[in-house]
Amino acid sequence: MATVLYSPPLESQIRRIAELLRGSYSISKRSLALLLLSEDEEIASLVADQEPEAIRAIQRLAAESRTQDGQHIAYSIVEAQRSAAEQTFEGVIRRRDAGRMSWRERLSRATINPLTGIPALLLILLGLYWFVGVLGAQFLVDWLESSVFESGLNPWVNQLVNTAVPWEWAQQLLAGDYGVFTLGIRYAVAIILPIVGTFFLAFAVIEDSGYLPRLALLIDRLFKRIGLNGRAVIPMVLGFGCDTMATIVTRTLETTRERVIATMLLALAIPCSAQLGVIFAILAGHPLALAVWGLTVALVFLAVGYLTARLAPGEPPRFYMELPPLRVPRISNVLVKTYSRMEWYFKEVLPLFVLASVAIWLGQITGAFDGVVAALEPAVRALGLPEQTAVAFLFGFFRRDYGAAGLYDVQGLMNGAQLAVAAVTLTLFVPCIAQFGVMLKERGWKIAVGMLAFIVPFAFFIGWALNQILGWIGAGL
Amino acid sequence: MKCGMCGRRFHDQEAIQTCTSCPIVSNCGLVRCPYCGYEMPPEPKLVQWLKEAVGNRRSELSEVPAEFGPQMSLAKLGCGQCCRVVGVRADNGSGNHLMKLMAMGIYPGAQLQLIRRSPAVVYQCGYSQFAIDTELAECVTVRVEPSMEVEP
Repeated sequence: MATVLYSPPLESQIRRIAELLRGSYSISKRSLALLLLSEDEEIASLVADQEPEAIRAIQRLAAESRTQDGQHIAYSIVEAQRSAAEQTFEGVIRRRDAGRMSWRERLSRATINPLTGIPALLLILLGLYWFVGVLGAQFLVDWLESSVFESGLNPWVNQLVNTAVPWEWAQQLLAGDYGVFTLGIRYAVAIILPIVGTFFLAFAVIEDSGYLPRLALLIDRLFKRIGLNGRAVIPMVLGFGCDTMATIVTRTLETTRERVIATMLLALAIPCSAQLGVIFAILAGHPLALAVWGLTVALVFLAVGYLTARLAPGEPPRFYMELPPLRVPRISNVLVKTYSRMEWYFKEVLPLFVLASVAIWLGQITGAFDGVVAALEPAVRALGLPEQTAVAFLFGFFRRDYGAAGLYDVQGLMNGAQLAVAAVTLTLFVPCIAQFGVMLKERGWKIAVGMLAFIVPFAFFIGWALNQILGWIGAGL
Repeated sequence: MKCGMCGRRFHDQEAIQTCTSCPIVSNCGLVRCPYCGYEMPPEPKLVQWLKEAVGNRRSELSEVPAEFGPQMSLAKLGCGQCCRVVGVRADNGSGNHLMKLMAMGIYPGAQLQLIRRSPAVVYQCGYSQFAIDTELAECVTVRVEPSMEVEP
């Protein structure tokens, strides 16, 4: 292993500090000494835990060397390391001829220039819509729903259960309208799987191409307004796949303030791919309703972000990021990523779907289900929606996509304006059980419960206001 | 701005000085070139904004020959210009970002080339490109250098 040699005074400093270290660490004493000289806080606290006397002597030494040198000692360390790195690769790499810009570089610059970058972003979003919203949520879902389940598996399972299981309550648990198989498995496989699968596939391609850091750069100024910085674009975009996964990813944000704002926005205004896919499918025949939905949710996202940023005190966020070169994604890599994300999602979702089916079954047997639906009906009526949608809102408590999928079943009963109101309310409405669990774990119960207490009435308020506005304009959409 | 007649660049302040000899008191709505006296409408806000958005606006000081090596903040450098970092200042009391900037190639003596200024500052350092926001770039003082030999 090659060792970088520093200037003689620095080398003697490193030796003296390394000699002071007596504890056992997982990295070499020399590296520790270098990190301590660079004033790495994490390493300093690590050493302070093991040997509190040594750290004081070391910090005195580090302070001495800084005053002698006149400038930050970390700078001379970095400079020596860089020049050593340059010498190493001088012999092994060949530079492309200078002067002409490669197409990669041209494309990269086009994506970070607002004049060409914003159209490019819209184009990517359009492509994403076609792939996930049309191919996944309409074509594949239609095929799986109607050909595979409704005309194939469901009647077969119903018949099998009816002949093999003698008790009626067990028949209802397994099959029928809300059965574990006919509802739980069908929702998971026929509605959610194709949508989530196509989204994760598209996301893996975007991720591997190196576009996300460029998107972060482009959107940084807008995100600063809502108390975040461009880096937050990664959990936000991932949230369009699965908000639960995205809430975990908010760990990559630096300050607690940013994490709280991002968690709030993910819980409130970012629909997950399954929900998004179903909403696209429901609103596909009503382009105006789709526009109203998109505009309302985007406005709520910006307004709530702006207000949360005003309310939550803290330092202004700073944006910094490396721009890796744009690359053509490798197919094997994309497929492996998509598969591992889908596996994670499925392990998360399938037990909950089955559990939700069982809960609904229990509710039906005991009559509690009807009671809750009846209690929700006035709220639903206030939004100007048919009573049957109360079931969809109840499902929404179990999973976001479950609620949207429930809406899918009753879409024939509503006109465009009602669909828009229902879609907006369901999008903003409660995070699913899994997401709420992650919120509790990551943000603590005070913040998580506080967010929930804000989101539920707020979602209904926005739905109610939208219904009033649409009714006032007289827009049927 | 740039004169439409003689093509020389000048500051708005210089143009205002030449107005003192004019009998019209104010609000003629025109700008007079301090070099040739040609009068033209001022650069509209929209055009200025567009130039900023395209990111190709040269730095105000980029007309100065490179030998002079004027010092300025990284955020003021013209696109495509090369520079050497002179110093990095801490902002808002948190010294934390000094380490981050250092990891991204910004430390006294480092060579950089500016790629964009808007919507964020993008620079090339060695074989890598990095983006930082304007506030961070303001903390970095650089000296303009003649252009580097390598384009990525």
